[in-house]
Amino acid sequence: MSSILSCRDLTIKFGGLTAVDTYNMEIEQGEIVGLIGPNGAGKTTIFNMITGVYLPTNGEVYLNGEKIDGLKIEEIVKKGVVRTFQNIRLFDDMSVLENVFIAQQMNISSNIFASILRTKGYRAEESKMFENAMLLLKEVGLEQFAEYKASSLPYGKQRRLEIARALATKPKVLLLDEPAAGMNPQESVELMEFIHQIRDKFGVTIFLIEHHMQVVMGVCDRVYVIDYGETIAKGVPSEIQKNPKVIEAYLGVD
Amino acid sequence: MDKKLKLKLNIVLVIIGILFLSLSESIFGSYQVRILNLCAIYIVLAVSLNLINGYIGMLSLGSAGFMALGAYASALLTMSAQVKEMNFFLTPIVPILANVELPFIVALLIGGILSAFVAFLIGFPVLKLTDDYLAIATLGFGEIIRVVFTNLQSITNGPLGLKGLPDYTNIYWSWGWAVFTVIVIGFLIKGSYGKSFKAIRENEIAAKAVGINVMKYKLMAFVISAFFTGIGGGLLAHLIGTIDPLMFRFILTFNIVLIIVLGGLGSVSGSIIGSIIFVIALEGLRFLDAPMNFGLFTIPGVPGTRMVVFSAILLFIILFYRKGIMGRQELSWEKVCSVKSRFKRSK
Amino acid sequence: MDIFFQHLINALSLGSLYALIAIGYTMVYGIIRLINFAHGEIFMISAYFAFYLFGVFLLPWWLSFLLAILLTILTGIFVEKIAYKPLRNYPRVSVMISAIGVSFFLQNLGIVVFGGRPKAFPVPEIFGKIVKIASVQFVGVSAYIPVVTILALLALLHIIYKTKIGMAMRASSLDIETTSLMGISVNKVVSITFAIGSGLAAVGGIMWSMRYPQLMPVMGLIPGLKCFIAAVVGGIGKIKGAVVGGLVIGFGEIAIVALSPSLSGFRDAFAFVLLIAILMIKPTGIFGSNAIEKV
Repeated sequence: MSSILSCRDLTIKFGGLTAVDTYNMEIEQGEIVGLIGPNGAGKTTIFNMITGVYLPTNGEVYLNGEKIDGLKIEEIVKKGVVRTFQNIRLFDDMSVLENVFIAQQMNISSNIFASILRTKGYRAEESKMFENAMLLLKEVGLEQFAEYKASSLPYGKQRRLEIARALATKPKVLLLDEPAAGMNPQESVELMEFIHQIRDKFGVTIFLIEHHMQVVMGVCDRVYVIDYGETIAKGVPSEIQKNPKVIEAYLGVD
Repeated sequence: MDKKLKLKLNIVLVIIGILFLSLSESIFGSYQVRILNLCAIYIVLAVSLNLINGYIGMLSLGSAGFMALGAYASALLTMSAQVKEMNFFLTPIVPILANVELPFIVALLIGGILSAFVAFLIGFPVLKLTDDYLAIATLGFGEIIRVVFTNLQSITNGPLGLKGLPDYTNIYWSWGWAVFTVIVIGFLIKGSYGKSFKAIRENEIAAKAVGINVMKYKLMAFVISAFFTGIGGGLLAHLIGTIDPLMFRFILTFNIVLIIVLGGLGSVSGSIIGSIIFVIALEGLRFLDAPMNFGLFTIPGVPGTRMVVFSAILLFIILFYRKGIMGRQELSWEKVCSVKSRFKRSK
Repeated sequence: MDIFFQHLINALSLGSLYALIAIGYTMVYGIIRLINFAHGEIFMISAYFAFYLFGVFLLPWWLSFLLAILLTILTGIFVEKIAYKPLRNYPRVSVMISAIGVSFFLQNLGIVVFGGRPKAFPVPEIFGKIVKIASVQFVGVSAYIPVVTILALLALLHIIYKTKIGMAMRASSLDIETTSLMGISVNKVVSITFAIGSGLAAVGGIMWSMRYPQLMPVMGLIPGLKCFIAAVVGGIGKIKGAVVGGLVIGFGEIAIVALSPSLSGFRDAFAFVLLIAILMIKPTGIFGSNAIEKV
């Protein structure tokens, strides 16, 4: 299995409702893969299972061949799978810089006493973390907002910040949940370029949920389509666009 | 404002503080000294509770329980064998404790460590709970401690309590611990651990999503807070000289919650200011409970009026000034100077 | 055997009283997610209202009790409007602190107004006389308590399931935002919830005062906590949970007293221990359902 992220018969049931039914997926290193489907199809649920928010009823998730389903959210992040949220979850009261800074906390080696005593070793680590955070902000074009409160940024920039923060955890796989939500056509085009850039610059594999069809078609190497929890199609964007089942799911049958 | 100036200002402040404290016992009467000591103790209690309630954002209502642990543990370790014998006249004390007598600092630390240890034990199940349940669970814990202490006659002397504790707490102990608590918690908050706490408060799920081990940090904050709260309990016990389970009812926790709400949830300097205001008000409003002599006539005091006013104040603050005095910000020299310049401008 | 029946009746009445008060907690929590710390004080106030109306103003008992219940309901609604409604859109910590503030305020106001010393509740003849069946002896009111409780429950269930306002309450407890978008007045639903909760607490308070005729301004504190625990144990937000929880705690306490008199000092701890246990085993309570947070 050479894939970096794969799902094997991933299923989840809530009471009597099967929200996701035997989802299978393989993503190769460096790909940008999309997940689309009508509202309520189960896309975010799949994200939640991959990232440890939900425990699947059946099936497994593998990262580089290692089983990661059942682990805690923060453990999965440490392994290299990180996500952004449909409704942006920033640390509102903290500055833009602090938001990216804190995402490196999990790798800090100084213990709590070193932190309280502000030892040389700790201070060195802390300034490195701030440096890295600043670099990341430069990469995503947000460095002039470093001291601003995260909640004061305009919507589009908040999205970028969330992605920058995710990148600060040095992930192998980045899951983006509707990154283009609420964006106008021009912003969506910028986002597409941005996603390509981060794949190239940071070498991350990207798995994204989207409703903006032009973003999906423009950015994804491959696409999975689900409806009512079931996979109804998968393939390259051009195939998906012409797939009758996909059209039916979105537009309904005559 | 440049760092050198700030450092100089801080040094001046510290020197003034030390001078004031060392002279206080000679200038002031014992009543005022007691108030100064209480201020310091409440600073310890408030700043440590604020770490969990204000900074990391979990509403814990178990302070009274941790204080009781610290108070009783340190008391039992500082009382001499004779004092213990006098106290435990109904039921003799358990043999292990009968002859133990330790120096104050050791007893205090053991009290704090015991408190921290218990926090560690109950932390795992309790900290998984969401806000409301956490509040009730910690409140329940406080009550359980109280009921247990009321019934463990041979260890705590039950409802009779312990009298004749050595009055070790003086201005240096109380303020020394107050300063220590503020420094430790202050530095903790300033560093990356503090930022993690803040992140957890802002958005717990997002914190997990960037790899922060939320449970570990919550437990850390809870245990540290319990340690200092236990120390506060020990200091209080050796100031008042007697303790009994009734002292550690929920109202004790309520008072500390009042202080941190008044000062601003999440602000260390707010908790310091709040503690001082609280203790002064506590003493200052004592007249409400006592008969008031107006020369020609006397209004008989109605006990309880003071607490009515206090709860009314709490309600007023939470309804109209939710953020408290300092909000989430800290006092800094910049702010102090800006007040001065605003004052100058308006003249 | 007689002792057993004695204990059984005690447990049943205590449990029923706890159940009545627990319902108030659970209903309020179910709709606005607030632990009404002041609910115990509502219970306390109803007892004092009844005391003054019956014992001081010397109105006939049925009138006194009715008026007391009415006044308590008004108090409950008033507290909600003043101390909880303004904070409805703020973080839950704030409302909880407000509730704690109200609780202490009312307790201490009670001490100031009523005096801290216990007052003896004037129990009307029919409730106070000792009844003897076979060789089992109990106070008359003990028999009435379960009966009244059942009647109150039936009335409550009728309101919840057979009236429009009841449906509004059920909808609100599931999803208050959407319910308000459907044109239902959230304020009205909340007020009615507080009214019902306070009313039941008042019924409980008056019967409690007849069973344990010592009134103190702080009498609501411990029963209030225990009843909240009862609601949590049974499954917060679920009325049958509150009833079951109340009975469990009532029976549990009497069992401790009955089986091991030396441990009766720990009776008050029973509820708290039960709380810790349920929070560790099934935090949502016996009848509680797991709400999945939307991520």
